[in-house]
Amino acid sequence: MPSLRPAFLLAATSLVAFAQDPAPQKMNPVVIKGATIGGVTAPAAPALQLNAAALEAQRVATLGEVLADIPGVATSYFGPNAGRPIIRGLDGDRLKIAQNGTGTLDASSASPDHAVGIDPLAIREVQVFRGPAALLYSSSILGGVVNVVDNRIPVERLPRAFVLSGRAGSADALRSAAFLAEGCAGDFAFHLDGFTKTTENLSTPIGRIADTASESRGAGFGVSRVGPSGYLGLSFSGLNSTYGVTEPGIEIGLRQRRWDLAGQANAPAAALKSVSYKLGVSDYEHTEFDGAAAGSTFTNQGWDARVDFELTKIGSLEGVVGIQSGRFDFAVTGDEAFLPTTRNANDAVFGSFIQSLATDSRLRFGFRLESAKVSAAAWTHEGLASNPAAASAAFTPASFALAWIKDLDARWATTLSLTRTERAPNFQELFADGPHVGTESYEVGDRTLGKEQGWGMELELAKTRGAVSGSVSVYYNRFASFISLQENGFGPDLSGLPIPGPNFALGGADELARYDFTSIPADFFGAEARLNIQLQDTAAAKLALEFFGDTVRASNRDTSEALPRISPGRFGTALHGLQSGWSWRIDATYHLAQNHLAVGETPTAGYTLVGAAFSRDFVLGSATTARFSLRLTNLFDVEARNAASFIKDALPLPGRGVEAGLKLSF
Amino acid sequence: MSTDHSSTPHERVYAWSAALGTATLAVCVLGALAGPVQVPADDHHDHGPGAPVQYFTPPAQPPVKTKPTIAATVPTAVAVPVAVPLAIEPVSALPVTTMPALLPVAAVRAPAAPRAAVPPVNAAAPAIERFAPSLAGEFPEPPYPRWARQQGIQGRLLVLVDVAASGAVQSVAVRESSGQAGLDQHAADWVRLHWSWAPGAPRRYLVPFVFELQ
Repeated sequence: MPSLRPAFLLAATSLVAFAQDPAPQKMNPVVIKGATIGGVTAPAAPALQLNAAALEAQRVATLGEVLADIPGVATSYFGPNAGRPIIRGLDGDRLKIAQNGTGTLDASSASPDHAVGIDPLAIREVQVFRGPAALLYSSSILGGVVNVVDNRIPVERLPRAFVLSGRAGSADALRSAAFLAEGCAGDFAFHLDGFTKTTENLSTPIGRIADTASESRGAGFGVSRVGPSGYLGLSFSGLNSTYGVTEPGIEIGLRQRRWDLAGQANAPAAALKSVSYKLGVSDYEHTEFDGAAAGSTFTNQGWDARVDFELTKIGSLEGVVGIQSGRFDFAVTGDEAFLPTTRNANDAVFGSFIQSLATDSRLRFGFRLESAKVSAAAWTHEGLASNPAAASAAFTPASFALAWIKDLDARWATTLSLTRTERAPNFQELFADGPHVGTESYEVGDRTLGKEQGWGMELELAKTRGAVSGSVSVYYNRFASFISLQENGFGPDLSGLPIPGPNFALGGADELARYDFTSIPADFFGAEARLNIQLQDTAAAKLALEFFGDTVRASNRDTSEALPRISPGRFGTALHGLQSGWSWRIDATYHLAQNHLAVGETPTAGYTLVGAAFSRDFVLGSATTARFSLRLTNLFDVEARNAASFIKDALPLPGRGVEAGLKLSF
Repeated sequence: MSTDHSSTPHERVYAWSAALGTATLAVCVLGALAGPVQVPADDHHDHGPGAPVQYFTPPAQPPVKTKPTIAATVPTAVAVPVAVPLAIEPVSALPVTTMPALLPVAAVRAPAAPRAAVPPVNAAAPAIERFAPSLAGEFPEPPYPRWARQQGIQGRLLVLVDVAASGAVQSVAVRESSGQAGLDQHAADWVRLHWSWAPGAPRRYLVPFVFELQ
């Protein structure tokens, strides 16, 4: 145990140093530990967190890209402006994205070309929950749950801060500016932020890609009353964005307005450490413009609320229980009306606990019971073979998770987890019937679909302390029923081969193959690994070497056919450090070729991306600091295609680029 | 944009939200007029020689949610009773062995260097009473502030607490800053609002706080 030696030496030295003191006095500091890398110490703790500092270092355009560097995470990359994270091959509604704990209430899970309603410039922290803690947010947790924190509702007294930042990039001609103001007045803490961002058509190794420019503006304001017994706060935020989705002439205009209310009462009763509650009310709308003419409009109006009760420790059991409830109305009008207007209701009761079994082992467990109901209005649109009547479907998914954590010694720990997950089919999987441009298919839902059900097993070995740290995990997720969009082999009306049906005209092109939402048995297995070797670690100089990798295979168990759009895996290395005030990082990642393909899918070749980043803090005055940062991406201008993207054939990843940023704090 | 069957409930929610918002803003403006809460400056609390400085040791095990691995990493260090000289050392000189070793976290800034040490309190006082660690009192651990965690801010500070005869906190002053005014204020506010001692004579305690990220 080499690294115990310095600690022992220090202890010995201090004993010697203080031995001369005739009357030694015990004085233990109050040590408050904050977790930046997450951990398994609290029942509601995230497995992983990206804090503001980490987010700034890799400021990117979509939430998918924010997380894409983490082993096991890929991005759906529908052009530079729409990207949702995919974890362990699971995407869409299977991977819940929460905003401050409540739903994002956007349209991003309905189609890959719909952006998540949160711009990375407004994000202050991203948390990834796994296992029992993820059940606080969703019943579908085999990939995890992503929670995005925007700080718009202050939860504590805030030091006065005023931050201005700007960024410019070459690959997409990025120009962005953002500000942030925070402070306190009496018992009130406030937060104000805003940003504006424009990008031009994306430059790739095969040239500039038309219809990928974007323009976004967003702002948020929040105020809280903060006191010794808790806080109560309210925020309002808005996002307006116009972005291209690589389809000729098509542009999406997105608008979201959101109210959030949140509060917490500390120790309201003997049995409770705290009670916190959150309500998000959102009005989301996006219109897909074809030239100047509005094509389809998607609206999502709804609310999501939750109450979390943090229980006082009973013996060696700690826990959080709560309820969550949400309603939203989702509607599509116009050319792309492939969905009826639906009202979606979801109510849940959940809990997550940690039971300490011995000093070196503990059990985490959690449950979530939901009641989900989707009601579709009667509808009709041009080209529909028959006009579906109003209908509704109700489900009661029940999920639970169990994880046993055993410390092998002071540094090594192993975790074995078992997860049962159930998910109610969503409005799209149940009721879709129409041409969907985003997936270039005629999508048909199945009103008789049952719940999606699966079991997951994972074994993780982690070394958390010491100069060499890292983790390896292997997992196997087995779905008895996995709802997948499968090519039917026929045209929309099932009358013939995938040749035009009667009225499937969509801007003149009427050759859409029919895809059905079908329940299939599916297997996902994969592994993730990360290794960090700290070569030098002092306050002024740091140097570390990092290795990381992941892989996943997904297949239909009946046919042994691969599932579509799976990022096969990658491995990479990075060297990062801090020298004479400069933080820097150089990394190279090899992405594997994808040759396990679904029917009709094109293979993607392997490729290596090399990047570098530098940043430095400057002190400009007594209270003014500046941070300069520079990022170089895809240094060798490699033509790279993301296997998880719907439009991988048309659009490679961005080419060589430089991005510079300046942040001023007053 | 709102569909017919959904407009009514949503309008109601919006109306509620707007009403709540207006109310909160109004209270906020009123609150702002009251002026910010000040952390009292040191000078106001340097009492006469009658108020002895005492060292405070929190009850044996503060409720730190420590993983067993942490304790196991430095068993020797934890077991060693750490001695501190009577004269107050600068915070930076506090023996680090009472804590688990800091983990290298790339995104975490190094703890800010403490500002120039304030001369020892009542260094000239003829007699300084010793404080015996006692469980009598309420000393809940403060939370790690979200803003500090997100920005990777760590720090150590020393807080001077005046305790009234009733055991209530009379005043709190920051003796040695962490270099982060927000962190200082957070710790001082917490002690003032959440800590209490058992009744007795008026007392003073120096409480070191260490905020560290792992």
